[in-house]
Amino acid sequence: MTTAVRSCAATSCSFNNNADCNALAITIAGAESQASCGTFVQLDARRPVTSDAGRVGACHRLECSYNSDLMCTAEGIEVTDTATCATYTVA
Amino acid sequence: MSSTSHTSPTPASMAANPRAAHARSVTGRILAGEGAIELTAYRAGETLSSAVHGVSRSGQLVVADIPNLFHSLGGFHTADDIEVRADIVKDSADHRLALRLASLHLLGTLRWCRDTEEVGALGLQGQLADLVQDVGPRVRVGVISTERILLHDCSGVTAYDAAILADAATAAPSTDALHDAVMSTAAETLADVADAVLDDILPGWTERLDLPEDTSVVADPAHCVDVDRHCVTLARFTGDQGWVVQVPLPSPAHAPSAQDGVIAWRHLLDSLPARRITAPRP
Ligand code: SF4
Repeated sequence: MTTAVRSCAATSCSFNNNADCNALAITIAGAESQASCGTFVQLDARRPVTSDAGRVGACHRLECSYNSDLMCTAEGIEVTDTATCATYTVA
Repeated sequence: MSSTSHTSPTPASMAANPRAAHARSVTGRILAGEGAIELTAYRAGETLSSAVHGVSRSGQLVVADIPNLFHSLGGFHTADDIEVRADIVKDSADHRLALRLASLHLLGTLRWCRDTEEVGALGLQGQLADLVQDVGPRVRVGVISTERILLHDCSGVTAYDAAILADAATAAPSTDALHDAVMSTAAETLADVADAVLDDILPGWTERLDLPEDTSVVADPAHCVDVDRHCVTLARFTGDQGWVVQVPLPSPAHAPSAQDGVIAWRHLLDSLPARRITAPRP
């Protein structure tokens, strides 16, 4: 199962097109208690769990209820204007 | 990112599954102290990114921090056990290339040691032992208990149980000399090595690397991004395309010494077809 990025409000990201994510597959990283999109910056050699366009390729927020070994199991996620995952939930 | 394995000819003395052996080695190196750790107390919403980490001689994952120097421990300043997520990121060996190579991720419980006696009983080694020796009792030392560790690298996600911490506690032979030898190899020669793998002349594995439209992040046709006793990892760029290329090193049948990796690297360069050598070897 792969998780779609339903919408992304980080319009300054070069992969953003009218609130849609055009990256091949994004990586949700983590910093300062915010589940943030780590595809925003540098080159990344880490292979996503899925490489489908506009999907969550990998998520490093292991504590999220939807996370299973770095794979997001949510039906779809929403990414905020600060490139954080609004679907993040801790049990 | 697509994955391609190039398997012929296979170095005779490599392990049965060299890629798995390499992933395990990288995981052990990161646990033992390579990379930068960030701890997140996810229930408190607090992050600690100034700690150093390593594995004690008894195989425990240990972190150390010096509070009240540049910062406060904040929500981490507690005698209670803390539920944490630990993320350890490792970037390219060549600092001119802003490339994230791999990361480790785990959920665990952090418990700070109460006193120096408890710290002493851990059997610290490496940078943790150096820090405690240099700074003394002001260093806060804690142990993270965990059951599952995930490596995220160019081959995807690999899960390990806590037994890998015991592996990481055993000092691996130094790769400093090999690191110097590979880092001082001309970029054009590194590109030849990478191309030999891409063309199935040398064994190895390749992964496509997604490049941003701004390709000015790339300085040279090839960069060394990691040196491991099992394998050298390169990044290769041609125009708007990029690959991560992993080249396994033939390992000696006898117990490896610090120089064996350098010899293996030189043999590998010597095995390149003459037409491929486009820059003098150092
Ligand atoms: S919902 Fe959870 S697992 Fe999925 S991308 Fe967001 S933070 Fe990660």
